[in-house]
Amino acid sequence: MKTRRELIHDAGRGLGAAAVLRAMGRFSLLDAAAVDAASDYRALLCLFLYGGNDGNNTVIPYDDYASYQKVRGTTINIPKGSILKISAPSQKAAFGLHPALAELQSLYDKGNVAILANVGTLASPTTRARYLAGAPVPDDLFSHSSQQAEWQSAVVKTSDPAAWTGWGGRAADAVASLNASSFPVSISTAGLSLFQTGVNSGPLDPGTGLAGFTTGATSQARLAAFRKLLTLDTAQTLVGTESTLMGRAIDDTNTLNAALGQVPALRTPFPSTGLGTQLKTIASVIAARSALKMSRQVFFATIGSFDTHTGEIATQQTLLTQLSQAMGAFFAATVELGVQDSVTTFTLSDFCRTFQPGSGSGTDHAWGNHHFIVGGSVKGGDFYGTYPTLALGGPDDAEARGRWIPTTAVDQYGATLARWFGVPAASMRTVFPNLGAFAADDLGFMV
Amino acid sequence: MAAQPGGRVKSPDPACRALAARGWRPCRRLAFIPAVFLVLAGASHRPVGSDPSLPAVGRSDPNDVVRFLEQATFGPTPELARHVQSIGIERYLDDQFALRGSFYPVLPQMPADTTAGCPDGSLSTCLRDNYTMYPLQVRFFQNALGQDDQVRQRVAFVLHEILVVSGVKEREPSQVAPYLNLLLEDAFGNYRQLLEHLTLNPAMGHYLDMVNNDAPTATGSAAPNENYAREILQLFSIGLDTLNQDGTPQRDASGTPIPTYTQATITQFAKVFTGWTYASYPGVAGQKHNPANFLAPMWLYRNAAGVDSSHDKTPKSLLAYPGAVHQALPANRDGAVDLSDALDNVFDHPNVGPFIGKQLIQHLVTSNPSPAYVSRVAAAFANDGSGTRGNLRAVVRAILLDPEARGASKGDAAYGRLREPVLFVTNLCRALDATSDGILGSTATALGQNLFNSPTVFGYYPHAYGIPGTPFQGPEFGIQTNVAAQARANLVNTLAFSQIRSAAPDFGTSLDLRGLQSLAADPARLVAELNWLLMHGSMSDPMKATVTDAVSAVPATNPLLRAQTALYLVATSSQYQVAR
Repeated sequence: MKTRRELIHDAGRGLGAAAVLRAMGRFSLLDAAAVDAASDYRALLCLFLYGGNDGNNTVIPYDDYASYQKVRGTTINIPKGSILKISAPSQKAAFGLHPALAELQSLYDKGNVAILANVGTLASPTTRARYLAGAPVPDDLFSHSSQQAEWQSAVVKTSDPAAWTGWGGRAADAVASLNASSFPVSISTAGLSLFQTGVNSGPLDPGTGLAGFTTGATSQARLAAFRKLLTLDTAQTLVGTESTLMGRAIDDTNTLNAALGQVPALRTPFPSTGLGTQLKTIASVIAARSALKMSRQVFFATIGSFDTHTGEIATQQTLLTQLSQAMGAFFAATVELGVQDSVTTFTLSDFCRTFQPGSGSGTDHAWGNHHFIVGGSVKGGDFYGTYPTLALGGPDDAEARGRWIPTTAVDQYGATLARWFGVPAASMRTVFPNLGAFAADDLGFMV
Repeated sequence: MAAQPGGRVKSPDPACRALAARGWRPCRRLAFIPAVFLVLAGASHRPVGSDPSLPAVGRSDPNDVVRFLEQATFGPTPELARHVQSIGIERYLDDQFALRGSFYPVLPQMPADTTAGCPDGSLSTCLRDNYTMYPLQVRFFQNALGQDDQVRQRVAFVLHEILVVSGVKEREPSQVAPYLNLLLEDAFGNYRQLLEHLTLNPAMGHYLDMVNNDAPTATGSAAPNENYAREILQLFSIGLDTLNQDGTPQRDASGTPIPTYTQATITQFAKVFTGWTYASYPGVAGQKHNPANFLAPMWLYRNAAGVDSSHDKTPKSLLAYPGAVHQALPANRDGAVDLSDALDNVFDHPNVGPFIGKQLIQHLVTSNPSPAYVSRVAAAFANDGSGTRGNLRAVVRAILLDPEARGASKGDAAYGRLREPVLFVTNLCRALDATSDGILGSTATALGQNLFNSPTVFGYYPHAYGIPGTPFQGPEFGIQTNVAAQARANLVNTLAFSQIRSAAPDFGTSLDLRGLQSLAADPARLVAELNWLLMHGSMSDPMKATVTDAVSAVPATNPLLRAQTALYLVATSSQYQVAR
């Protein structure tokens, strides 16, 4: 009798998926055991807000609304009356969330959401005085592509080979041995990202597998030849890359789709938005974690168009509504699956936006930003880090338009999540090479 | 010049039909299909791979001609390969530089009342056909598969990937079509002129927020918008790092690349790009912020006294480099003069040749060009041989005739490029003499490239995407997910064994396998034909043997299945997906 993994590989070699599923029915008892083995389950879900979300209009001072309105004026400000008020004991002041974030406010009030204030890319702890004196700063500040890469790699020198991989991928590499399967640790609903690129690993996208083969002899002969071609000419770098990619794609997609076929549909409703669809897919993969023999997974989903140089109010309202609704549904789905304490969702984005508006009722590229961490293992209902002083040319401004110099580094943010996720202490400096430049490597927002 | 039939394209196209129902003028121009395609296409299923009756002319051996056409066009057709083989690559390029033909229909803007814009029929179909990227996608594939001006189209396609205006924000074809026409028109022009044209193009103006970008008001509450200032420098001209002429970054003593500009530079350029609004419609007085007009270049607003009062009049400090032109712009100058001088300042920066030249090479020829190759192309950018800088015709010629581009095969392990989805589709359709209605946008989207809907200004895929685990770049691998890879194979499955179907009365896309079928009695000969037509003779002996064996396993009584099997195996192979 074949093992489950052999059967899954057979699916990749052309045995019909239905036949594989029938054969797998015999493994239901084994599955029950696998659930116990996988009770130690932890997953990270990175939500990347492409374009650079304006954190200044996402997390807004309530008590000190006057300093906010002094600069934001009356065209791209959120009126005080519509802010969703939250408490922030660590900041000794009340704050408010953007009015589109009702689901996140509710989870925050229940202690399932933490806010990390003014976090960003840093080469070392940096003050305004040090910045103006020419202290080392991350390469290519304020550039989309560079800052996306630095947030995802946690490496701020683009010429460093460590910048070729992402901290999600390196964290996945570090915990891969905890999984009882060589199935990819990383799953993406948003294609390839630097975040999930490991040293020798990358993400799998849920989707359709190879079509067009039957169990007939000529079809099987064609499949065999197709497979054979994947083994030839691999010394040609790009050819070998494509062949490796294709071979893994077929096997892993078959494995995933076979597992997804075994789990019941989620009852939790998801919004029918792009992000809602992505997070529903991810929740389904989590539901199939036992069938996949996974105890550690890294997920990646994205929402874009945050680059609000003009017309910010309407665009951000739409996007944050989608974000909050999808995150709310996803948390509810983890509750349905009983894994709310095992799954932590967190946001990243290119950068914050200038506190001072630009021409056209929008804002330009800036630096330190505010981010959300969501899950049952989050010590929520409070802020971590330090909210900046909202003053142009003030103590937190890199120059004069309100580009906040981060007071917490991406490395510290990621390391706090990675420690909870199970990255061993010995691997932490591999995952975050520059962590030693900062005082605290655990910000305390995870249990 | 001689006509070069490509895939047969039948009219009317769907967008045209939707408009024709209302008798709108743009539609009638859509129906332009040179009759010669329809006449000659029927004869095109003869295999011509190694036709001994053809004279071997000059440098153009049959395999190098196919390889050249993979780089310079949307793919070889058997007839086009024979044509170029007979006249030579250089003569073909000269013919192509003089050729015009493809263009995009300029559709009307969507009226506020959609029922007025779509008075009858299915509203969703009408909206798709007139107010989305769909009609432009259809026209793109019709042009790519059927029009003669292949090199112009191909270069314009590359330019639209470097100089991005995306339908994600510019949602209507009325906005995007004039921009695409601009790129077709300027594809072989001067880069300085192209920079000016695209800077003042209203779709670009709206996409990157230069339109209605005003000088700060007296209160100083809003700074000049930095978006266009940043992206024209980072993406359209000089890039982030100071480059050597061979495209490698210059480094400081600690090995760190040297930035080309700082935030202060962006702040200065943001001021340059203030004061412009949409052009006034004829007979309408201009306002500070005119209503949207995507048909004419943007216009510098002037008040009743003739003063460009929305332009920032403070002095500006621009790019500094050895021999910099217009490094400092004095105060109180006219906005149009500031703009022209600032574009000169950007255009003359030594980075432009290697920065743009390397990307053109990567899109046309190979992902990892040698520094010497980049250097030769940068030299052509700097001087076209008659002292002119920025002549794109000279740059394209230098790229395509370079020793690193020519020759039937290449030994360097990292040579080549993954065919991007759109080119994969067009190459396959042209090589196999497709009959197509041009409705292939969703096909390319399924492979990871949503034509004219680039996700961001950074393009469909990262220009500098590094192949994980290697020191090499492979930009197109940036969107080659497991799903996309298998979707490619599944597309080949559809085209080889069936066809892409469209809703009636459109007719979809189907390949003509009769030429391959006629060779099926001799599997080795069948494989040799595909080796020539799809892989310019680069197939290794083990690959030939594998495909030949698989074809031989199909009964000789079923020549169609033999042809389908061979096509499937070659077109899905990594050896074909990577053009090298």
